[in-house]
Amino acid sequence: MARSTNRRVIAAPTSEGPLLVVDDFRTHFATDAGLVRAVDGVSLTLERGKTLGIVGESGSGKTVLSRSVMGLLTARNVVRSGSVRLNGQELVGASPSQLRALWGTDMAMVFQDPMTSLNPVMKIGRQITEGLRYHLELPKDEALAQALQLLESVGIPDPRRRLEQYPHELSGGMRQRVTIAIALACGPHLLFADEPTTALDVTVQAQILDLLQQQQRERYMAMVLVTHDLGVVAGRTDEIAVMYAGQIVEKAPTRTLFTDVRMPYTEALLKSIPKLEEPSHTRLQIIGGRPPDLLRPPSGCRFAPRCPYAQAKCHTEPPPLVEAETPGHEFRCWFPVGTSAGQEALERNLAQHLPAAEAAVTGDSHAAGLVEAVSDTGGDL
Amino acid sequence: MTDVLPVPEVTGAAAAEPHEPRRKSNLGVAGWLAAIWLLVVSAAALLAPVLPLDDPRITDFAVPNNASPGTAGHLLGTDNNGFDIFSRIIWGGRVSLIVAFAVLLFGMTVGGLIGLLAGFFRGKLETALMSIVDILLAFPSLVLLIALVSFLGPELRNVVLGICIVSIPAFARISRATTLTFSQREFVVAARAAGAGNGRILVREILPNVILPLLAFGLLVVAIAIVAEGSLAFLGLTSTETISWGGMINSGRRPLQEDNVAHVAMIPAVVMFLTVLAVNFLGDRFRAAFDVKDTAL
Repeated sequence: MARSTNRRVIAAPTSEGPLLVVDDFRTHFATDAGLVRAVDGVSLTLERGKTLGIVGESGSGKTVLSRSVMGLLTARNVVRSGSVRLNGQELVGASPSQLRALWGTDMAMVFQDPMTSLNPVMKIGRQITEGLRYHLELPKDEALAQALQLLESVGIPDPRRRLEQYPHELSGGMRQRVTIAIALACGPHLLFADEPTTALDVTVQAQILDLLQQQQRERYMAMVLVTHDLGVVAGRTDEIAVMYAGQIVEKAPTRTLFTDVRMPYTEALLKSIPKLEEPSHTRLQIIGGRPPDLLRPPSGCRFAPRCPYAQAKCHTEPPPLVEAETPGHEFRCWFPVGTSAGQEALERNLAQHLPAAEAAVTGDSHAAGLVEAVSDTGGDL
Repeated sequence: MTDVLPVPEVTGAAAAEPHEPRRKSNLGVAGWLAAIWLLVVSAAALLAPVLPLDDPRITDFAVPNNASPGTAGHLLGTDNNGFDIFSRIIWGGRVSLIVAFAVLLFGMTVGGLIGLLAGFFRGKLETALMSIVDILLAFPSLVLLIALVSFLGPELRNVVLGICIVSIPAFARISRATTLTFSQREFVVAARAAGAGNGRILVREILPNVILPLLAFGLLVVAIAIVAEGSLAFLGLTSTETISWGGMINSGRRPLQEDNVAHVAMIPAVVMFLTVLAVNFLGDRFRAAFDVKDTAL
């Protein structure tokens, strides 16, 4: 392959402009029941060497987004539109062989569950060297030496022995380290990490995240960290995009998002994180209801049915993504949190005893009559 | 069962790596007997030309026809033509062995490949391939076999070919089902994300996972294939030139009916029964060991 020149691991900034530009990107699934709008008009940019967090509850489209951006959704019923440019190269509509040339070398992915993302009947060594030998055309002994180095760099003790082992002989954390080593093998410029710690023990989670962060810095690699856990992205990303029902509802530099939240959904997510200073057995704040049916998303704001701030306008007119005061901070809301308009809206809803508003203030899901609809987020966070 | 309780060993190294107990040889006594029986039968059949056996096609006029087992020079006696039964059993085993290997080589390869392609690529290819398989499956196999053999001629080659063709649908279905489950697995997406093409994914990622259940199932099909050949031979549909267990049972019918001599039909029947039982038994053990559920992780 022509890519064999692209040999080394450090992805130096080669050309001008952002690495990844996603513009009005849509991924729809044509099903018998209708068109499922899993990703519906997402725009993103990612600079080289930066980390973007994509946060959302189950079913918000974050996994579909990352896989679809890479072009990994091969089912026949997938309809992709809009534009994804990696290093200026358009990926939407690219041929399978064009994409294949990018996979592994320019972009790679770490998957959620290391139990299923490694081939059970292939030795670790072979799974790592496969990409090296195929993409970089390394001879067998060089590939093995490189694999050894990779395993070492992802913190696997006794790497020489691991090369000869099968996935089932490793623990979950080890396996995830191996999948990271495989993803990093050919020195990608862009790494997607799709909930890389969800299937792992809490104590291992931090290690894996630290490892990803360290590798990302050492290799000057851009990373997209997909997660449902705001705590995961808090200290490790440059920017966070919050997804809801296939759209980005708020996007901001990490610090801004936590200090200056505008979108009620983001606020609700933040509130639902358990806090250390609270007494034990404090009920978690939940977001009542459930994410909308992506076959027939609400005509107005997609979060309106669950939103404590929702007004009549929210149910009819979809809010556009607008700029906040801080540069790079965008949100989708008619009555943003932290503004007088938002405050008035909440008070109006409280005065009318709207259940979503009361639940948001008291934190009592029973009062809101929403118990039967404890959302996915409540369980996830 | 004192070895059920794990010895609590909490040194650092042991805690870091989950140590799975080595899978015990789960053949059991019956399994070992079955394996030994098959080994003996196959070895004898393979070595038939060099073993000091009586010529299976020469009548021994020194003893009466249908001589009972133990008659001088004839361990298992002679049949109604005065042929040595022991020698014919061993030579007949060659036919069963040929059928078994042909089914594994040809039926499993073709059927497995059809299933692999259908299960991986889906769509129109799957519809086309699986309809052929279903049509083949809808035919009663013995009727199809009889038709094939009467049309092509009773030579062993045609019989084996027929049995292989009849075995294809079963392999195709198993292979397709296994491929379907493995194609959905994340490591296939992971391989694709690492830049592997369809061919590589099929050969390197899916095939190694499909081949174990397929092989285990193959042994069960071998048992059926041996019986099928025996049935054809018993019905007199295969060439009488070929010595086979089914044909021996067939030729033992007349002694049984007219002379009340059972051993001529009984001995090949018992040998065939034991062989098929052994193959079935081992196949079942292997299937349990390589079950898709077991290889899932």
